[in-house]
Amino acid sequence: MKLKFLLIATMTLLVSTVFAQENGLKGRVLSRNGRAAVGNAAVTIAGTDFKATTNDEGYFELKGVPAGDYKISFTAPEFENLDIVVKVENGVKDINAVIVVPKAIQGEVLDDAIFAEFDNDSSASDTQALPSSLSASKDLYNNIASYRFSEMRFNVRGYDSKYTDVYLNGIRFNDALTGYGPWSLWSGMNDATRNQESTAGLTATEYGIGGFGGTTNINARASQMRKGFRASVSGGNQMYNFRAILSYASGMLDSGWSYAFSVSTRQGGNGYVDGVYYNSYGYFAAVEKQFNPQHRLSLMVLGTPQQRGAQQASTQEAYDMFGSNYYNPNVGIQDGKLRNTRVRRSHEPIVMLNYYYDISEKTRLIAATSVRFGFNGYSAMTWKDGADPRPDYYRYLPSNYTTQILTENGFAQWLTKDGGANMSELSNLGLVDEALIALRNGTPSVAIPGIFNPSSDDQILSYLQGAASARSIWNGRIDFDNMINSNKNGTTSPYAQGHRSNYIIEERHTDQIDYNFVANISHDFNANHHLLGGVKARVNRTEYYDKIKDLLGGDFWVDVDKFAERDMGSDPVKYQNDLDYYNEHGHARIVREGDKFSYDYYAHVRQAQLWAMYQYRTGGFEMNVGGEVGYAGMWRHGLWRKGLFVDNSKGDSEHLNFLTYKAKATFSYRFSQAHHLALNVGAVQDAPTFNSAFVSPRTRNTVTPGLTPEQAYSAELVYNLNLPYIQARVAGYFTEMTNGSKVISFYDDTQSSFTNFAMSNIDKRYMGVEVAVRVPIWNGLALQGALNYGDYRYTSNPNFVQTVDNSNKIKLMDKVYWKGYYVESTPQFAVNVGLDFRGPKNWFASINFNYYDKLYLSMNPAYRTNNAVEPYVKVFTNTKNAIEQRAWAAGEISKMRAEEELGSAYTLAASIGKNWYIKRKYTLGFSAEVKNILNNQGFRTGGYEQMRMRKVRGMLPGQTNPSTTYYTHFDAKYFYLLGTTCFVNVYFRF
Amino acid sequence: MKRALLSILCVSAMLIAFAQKPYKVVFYNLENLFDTINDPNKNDEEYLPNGERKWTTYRYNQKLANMSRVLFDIAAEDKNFPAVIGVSEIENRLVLEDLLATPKLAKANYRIVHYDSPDRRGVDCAFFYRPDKFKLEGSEAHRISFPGQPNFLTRDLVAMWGKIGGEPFYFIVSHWPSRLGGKERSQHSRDFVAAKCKHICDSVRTANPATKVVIMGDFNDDATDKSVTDVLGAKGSMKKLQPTDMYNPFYAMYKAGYGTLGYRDAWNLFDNIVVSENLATGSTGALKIQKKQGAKFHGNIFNRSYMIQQEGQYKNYPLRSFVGSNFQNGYSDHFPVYIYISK
Repeated sequence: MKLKFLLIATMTLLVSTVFAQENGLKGRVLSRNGRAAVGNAAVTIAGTDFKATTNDEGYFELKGVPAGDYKISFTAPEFENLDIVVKVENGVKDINAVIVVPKAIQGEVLDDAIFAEFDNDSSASDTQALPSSLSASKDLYNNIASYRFSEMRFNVRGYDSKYTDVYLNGIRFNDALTGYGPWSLWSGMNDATRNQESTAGLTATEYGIGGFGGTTNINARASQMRKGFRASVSGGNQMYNFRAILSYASGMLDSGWSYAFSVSTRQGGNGYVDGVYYNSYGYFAAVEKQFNPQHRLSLMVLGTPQQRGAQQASTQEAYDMFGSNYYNPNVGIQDGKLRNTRVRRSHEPIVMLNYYYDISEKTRLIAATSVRFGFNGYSAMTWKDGADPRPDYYRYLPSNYTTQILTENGFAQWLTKDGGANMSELSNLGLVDEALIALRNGTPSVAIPGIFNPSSDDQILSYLQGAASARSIWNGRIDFDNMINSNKNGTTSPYAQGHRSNYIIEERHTDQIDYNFVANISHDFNANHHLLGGVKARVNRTEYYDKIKDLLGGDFWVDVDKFAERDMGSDPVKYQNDLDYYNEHGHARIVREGDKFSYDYYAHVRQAQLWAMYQYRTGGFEMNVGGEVGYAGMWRHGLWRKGLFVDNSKGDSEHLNFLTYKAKATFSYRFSQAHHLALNVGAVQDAPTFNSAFVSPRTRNTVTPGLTPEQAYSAELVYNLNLPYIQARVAGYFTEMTNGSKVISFYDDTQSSFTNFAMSNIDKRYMGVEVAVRVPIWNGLALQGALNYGDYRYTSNPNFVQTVDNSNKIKLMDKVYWKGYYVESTPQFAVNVGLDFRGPKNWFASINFNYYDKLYLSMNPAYRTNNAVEPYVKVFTNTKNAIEQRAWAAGEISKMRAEEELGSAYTLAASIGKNWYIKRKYTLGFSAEVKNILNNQGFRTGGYEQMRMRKVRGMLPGQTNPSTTYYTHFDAKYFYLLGTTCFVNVYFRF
Repeated sequence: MKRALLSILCVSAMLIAFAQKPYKVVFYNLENLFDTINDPNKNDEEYLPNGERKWTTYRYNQKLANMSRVLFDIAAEDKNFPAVIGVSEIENRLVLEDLLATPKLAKANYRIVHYDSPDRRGVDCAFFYRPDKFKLEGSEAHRISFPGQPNFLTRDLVAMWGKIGGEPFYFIVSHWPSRLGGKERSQHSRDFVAAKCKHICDSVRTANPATKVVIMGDFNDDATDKSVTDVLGAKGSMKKLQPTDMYNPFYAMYKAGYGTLGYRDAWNLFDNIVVSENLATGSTGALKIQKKQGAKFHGNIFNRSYMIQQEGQYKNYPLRSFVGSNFQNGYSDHFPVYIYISK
């Protein structure tokens, strides 16, 4: 048995030896001189007997060499000996070409002529300047602030987005009319826009002089997108439910071509607010050709057809009644489905051509041109007669009744006992509920001893019953059924079939055609001196118009101005929106779904700038000095003649021309690898925006009185620390903005008419400190944090001119007294502390705690005028009044003018993720993030005071009229931070 | 009289003509110089014409031309081809020969010292040297084997020794293990290689204290890291330099803010040329490290504007050949470093 086994084993061994791979060595010996074959060269393996000679073609082969490391020697007459070490394994190893050096070429003395033969960059820099700063990603502070703090609508340094320049392939894309950041033009196109260069604050940038809030340039060109294929799928309830992005980029091919595509979609809403949803798509296609090392041409098309339902803020009373701080008054049920009346719908594609010409290694020319076109509409309800369909309209809320109780002094004093009457306090006290129960049961309401006796205080009782009744029927939803029914039974017209809709959904459009042209040139005089400059031109025509979106069951709408009809109904000319049509046809236009109505005009904006910047670097010192001078022109061109303004609505308005300029200087010094300090200053003059240039662009060509360009200047000091055990950035900033202007249109209760409130001479001051720190703790774990301590205030009392919209008559001219008040709508204090972990095998995780404070509610300027507090002032200044009454009046003045602080907020967030690299080719990654882990649903992120004032009629101290009108705040409207949300992303790349 | 004057002039002219130029020693990480031929024993699949990076002959030739341009421009700075050039991230001897065959370098008539490393990626270190400046006497590869980690393969230390200007020199070129997985997690492997370099230097100097040792390479650690300052013993200042110390002229440069590669928006100085104490101070022999005329530091980093990314998100970073698998036709993700040695 054993013998058989042994025999078989031996046979197998023998057989395997015969058929085994024979190891060996082969190659070809060539001369360095022209790679000529070296025949008859001897190839020997040191320490063995293996020898071979190369044939005439230089080839040799050594077979049967056992596996191992050997020194192989190559010798040939006329050639230097060559020894190399080769590992023989896995069969006959082919060492390919073996180059031997001819003896003839000895070490000659090289002369200088050899350097004259070739061009060379032998310009030795005079003093080796320190390498330029690297900024592939945002700095330590902005990296944290821009991502973490956005949940509370944080603005870096408090500035509006119009002070941050956003460039796409070198063309500034901030909106031509508002100056706002154009991010919605490419939202969802993460892969196409991933390649970004950002600068912060006043740092110099090479795309222009830039403003104060930093710049971002997005490189969305075929050659700039990461080569390969990428697919990602995400789900969550933070903004939308589902997102998918698919992209492919070829990278630079040897032919000089490169191309890239990307498509994306975002669907669904967040988990909290009804009716807020995304139904958006995006596409991107780019192609680029490098003709030769000097010329490159790139073409790009980018568009995001999108639709999203919007959220409206509401009052705390409505939130409490609905039972959720995420109640959305824009929403109702139609045919059993939730429908949002306020939907943003847009498709504004961009086509861009970029040309790069490297004139020499020192001089570069860039030219770019783009066109952005398409439509952008925002829907809303509108109606002709009857009840306001908005569910949180003030008249439908219990507070409409309970605020009238203020006139009864006893009750009022009791309510104001603790320093402020909270209207919802009445509900909280259960008095409204009690009244409701009483109403239903016919039982009397509960009495409050000494304050309220339901059997005798008839007036208060009726108010409570009114409030209770309002509460019982309120459901917070838009009643589509009621509107559709009303429309189906609407009036008829001799000029159209069917019924006239009373309630419709309109879509207000701002359709832009925006052309841009940019040309920049840059030149290096040498390593230390650098010059940049360029020209920019922009031509924009935006059509503003209204369009019928949905007749809601009716058959037509009649295009007339309902307010003019109400106020001046006797003269039909006055309430025409298109007088020329009326004159031609004898009646107002009948419009149906898809038709334009109400207003139609063009905004024309022209801008041109010329800029230059000089950079000087030596050693650790760097300086940039630059300036820009420009022209901004704008005018309105009405397409329809408005009945109210026959001579001032159709055709061109006055052409407004403004001089604009920018000046910037930056100085920085790198002390060492660890310490860097920069001082940057800038000054700017900007033209006013189109929207603040015209008092009521929907109706007439009237230019805002007192319109001036806005000036601003800013300075910052930035210190960067980079040591192995700590990295930090500390910055101090100071900015003053002067001569700002703004136009607000609203129904003014004190004037009982719709007015245009044009403010000018708005001055603001922003100053503060930004700090960011990162401390590596141990093995991939780091502690990091960022802090902004800001003080942003209004530093003037702006002037205002208030005109009645219908007549252009000036009703009032005065000041808004808010000097010293805080700039609203951004937390001025924000701090983040977090732990960041980068683990082995590409794990990463983080946990972050954020705290916010000094956030102020957006103000209604009318509350800070003399007009608003006049009745109280009369009480206060009347020395015949009792001290308590005068104190009460002083208190009311204070309340009217006070700025509301939204309270502090804090959040906890965590994330985790991992990447897998498969076969050196594929990457699979996933990440998951949870925000507001503590699920706090009571933090206000912002909001606004309503533009109305609540009229209260009653007996004021020192007055004889029992029904004097005075005013209090309308309830403010708030936005709340969403509760716990999550976002999971999976991507695959190769 | 005229004759004597003429002779003096002639001799002076000859002396001037043959005035000794300083010896330049360069190190350059070439960023993956692979040929287009498949080596079955190496992981060079990415660098093949059909591979991930579409490494065609066209691209290979462009890479060679770019590397050649940089080395030539370093020489052209003072019309002096370097005596010794250490390189890393080269696949094999053939790519070195192909580089020397480029028109700009061919006339410089370099010789090669190269040994194949067991490194999985297949990249090695090597030397070019001018036989008229450096008289080679021997070379060897020092294999690195990590105790208890038989599967962790890294680049050999390539060493060569001989004479420059009659004085004994010992050169080592190395490419220390990378920071893949995290700096702290991989620190021990770099410390190990640093210790080995130090050990070799000590042995060589013990055998002959006049030997001038030059250790160069991509250390994957900065000049101020402990692996360089303590384990290798390379100090940043010539003051208080002990005979057993080494001197790193790039230490002061790093502290001042210079770097040879960019990572996460900060400069690192991984590429170093470290010299033994006697080469720093001239305590033995006559040759020692010199500053370029008007320069502040003994070390030099070569970073001309064509080697730097001029636009885009990665502006001011070294212009590399590849970003992921996208060919940029750049140079390397590292800048070359060099020093001067003379009497």
